[in-house]
Amino acid sequence: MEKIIKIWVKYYYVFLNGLWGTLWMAGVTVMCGTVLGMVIAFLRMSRFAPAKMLSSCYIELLRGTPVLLQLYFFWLVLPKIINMDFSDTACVVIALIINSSAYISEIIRAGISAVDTGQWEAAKSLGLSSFNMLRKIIVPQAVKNILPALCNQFIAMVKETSLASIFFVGELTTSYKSVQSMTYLALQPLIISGVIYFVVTFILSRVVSLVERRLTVSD
Amino acid sequence: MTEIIRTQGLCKNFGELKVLKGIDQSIYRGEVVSVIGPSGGGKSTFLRCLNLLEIPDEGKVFFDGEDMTLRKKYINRFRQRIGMVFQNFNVFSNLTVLENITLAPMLEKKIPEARAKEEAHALLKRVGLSEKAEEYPRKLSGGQKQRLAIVRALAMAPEAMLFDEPTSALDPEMVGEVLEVIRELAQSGMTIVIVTHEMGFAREISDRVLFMDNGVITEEGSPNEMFTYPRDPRTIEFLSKVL
Amino acid sequence: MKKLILLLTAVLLTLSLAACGGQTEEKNRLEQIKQRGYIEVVMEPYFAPYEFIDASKSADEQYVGVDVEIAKVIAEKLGVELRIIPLEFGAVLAGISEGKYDLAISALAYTPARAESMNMSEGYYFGENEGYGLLVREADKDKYKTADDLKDAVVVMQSGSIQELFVTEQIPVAKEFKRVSATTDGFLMVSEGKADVCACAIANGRLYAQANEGLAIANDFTFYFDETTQGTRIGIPLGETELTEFVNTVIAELRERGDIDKWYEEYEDYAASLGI
Repeated sequence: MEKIIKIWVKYYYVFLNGLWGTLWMAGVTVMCGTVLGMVIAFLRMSRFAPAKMLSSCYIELLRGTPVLLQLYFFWLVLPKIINMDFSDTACVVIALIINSSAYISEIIRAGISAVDTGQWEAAKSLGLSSFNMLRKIIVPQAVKNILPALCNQFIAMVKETSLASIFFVGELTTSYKSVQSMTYLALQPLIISGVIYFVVTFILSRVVSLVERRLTVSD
Repeated sequence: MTEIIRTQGLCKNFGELKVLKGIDQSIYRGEVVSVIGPSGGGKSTFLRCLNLLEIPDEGKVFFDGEDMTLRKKYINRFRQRIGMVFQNFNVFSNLTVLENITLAPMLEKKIPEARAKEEAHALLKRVGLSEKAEEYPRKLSGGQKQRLAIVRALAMAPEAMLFDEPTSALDPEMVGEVLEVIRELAQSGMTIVIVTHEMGFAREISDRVLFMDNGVITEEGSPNEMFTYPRDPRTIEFLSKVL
Repeated sequence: MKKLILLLTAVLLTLSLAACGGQTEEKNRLEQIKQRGYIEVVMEPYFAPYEFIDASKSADEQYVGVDVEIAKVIAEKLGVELRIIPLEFGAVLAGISEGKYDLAISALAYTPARAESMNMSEGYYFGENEGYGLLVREADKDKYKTADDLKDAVVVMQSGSIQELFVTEQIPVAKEFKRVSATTDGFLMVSEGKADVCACAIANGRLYAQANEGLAIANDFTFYFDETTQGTRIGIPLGETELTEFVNTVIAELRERGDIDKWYEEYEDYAASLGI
């Protein structure tokens, strides 16, 4: 306990920087993953068979392989394909974005399918154009289904980014390992970063359930 | 009498099941037509084909002389001229009562907001929902929701109205208020096609009654003919059960 | 089943094609480095005094140690900017064997497998030659004298390290062999009783034992060490002869001046000052 306090006093900024890195990375991943996920979900739900098949393959492949493996793959292969000099952080973030886009596209698809078919039919029977129907009726209702799941994806990502510490991308687990190597103490930094992870995800999940309650009230 | 909707050889299959087996039927302007018959006989599917919510596998649907099935691009234009009311109300849960009504006129008919609201308020007053204008549908009872659904359709000033079992999902004490609105509408000269299990109501408001069973219209006639002197054994059997 | 295999083959083929695309190297890496104006050096900065982190400094400055000094000299002699890429040990090895980065200066020891997947420089540090031994719990300090004494012990080692090689060659029987990605994880396992001994570089293990109560270096156990393969080396992508030769000349010069031994002592003190 004494050692934990000493480490915290001396190296608190390392952990806080790492936490910032983790939140930043999870945020960017989920945001970009949402944009990409929308495109994938759209393709998946389209009536054009090849687009449907391709997007299903994309989703299955990314959900059926471990994240760690994908990280290594993108780290090694991505710069070769695109022939550009990506930093390790960029490779890792891109890999995480692509990974989460697969999950998020399924969240979006589920959110849209969960909108009652009666709402679609009513909008059609009034002669609303597809664009107006989606914009005014379907999407606003789907967002209520999607938003809580998206927040949960963010929480999952906060934890998932720890895998990226292999590539020193400056998130919380990298901080833990750095402090561990500086102090030659293994257990105490582990406890500190564990507590930080827990506090952050706990607060976030409280926020999510609050948002969720708000949304159901205005339904 | 001018024809407004006509179907020609209308067929619809759900997988192996043949739901509609070639229906030829005309609806005339100002006419109130009830569709009755046993469940699963194809009544709702027939109704939903009239504004192409179900796309027929074979046959044609004419509206005001034009074949809608050939002009799918303009399907929304046709639908704007045909109102529809569903069994489960299907009011838009993310919009207020007023917005439910003004949405389609403002977006699709480009009616200015002020005028759309004015007309919506008039419609709400007509069905006794004036106080609910700013509420969300979840605060409405079933009967109120269905009245809202009716005026939502009316706001588009349709030339015909389709009712798909409008009182089947209602608690008994709310059926009356909804039927009252439909009755007034019928008296105002609106063209109406209604699928219903309310035999007394069908008899009262209809100009013509269609009996549908097993994907075909087996008998049709005036309410008096149909309810007092049915000829087809299937009609007789059905009516003996429900009356 | 046949379809599935066919599908898998197709997927693998596409991926490997993608992976191999764009490898157009007309010039050797030494020329490329000079042309692009920077050199990328990978290391796992968890290994004082070779390379470690001083978090009080910012950005690239925070990576310090003997290997960092060597990297600086190499970059300076090439007249290019030095870019340090920190990675975990497994990724360090993959990064060089895949040719993703220019040099691995990460206290690499010689192993035959490594020499097959990358070029290895001459040894640059031979140390006061404490060599490699075992980190144990204080109570077991005198328990292990020969490999025989380890037959009931749980042995942990860093995967892909030279210690792993020593263990496989020199400890025929143990209760269990465990592998971890970082040696510090192995140390932790010993102190938590999840393992009994952790194979390590003795100098490195001693620093850890000093900071954590109840741990020590086994008194009478060191791994046997082949003279010809001794020394810490620099890893270079396979087949880059020019770059390898250049690195070797730098090493020779530094060794002649005694710089490396001097740095080693300096950074040992530096590393100790970072503890709490």
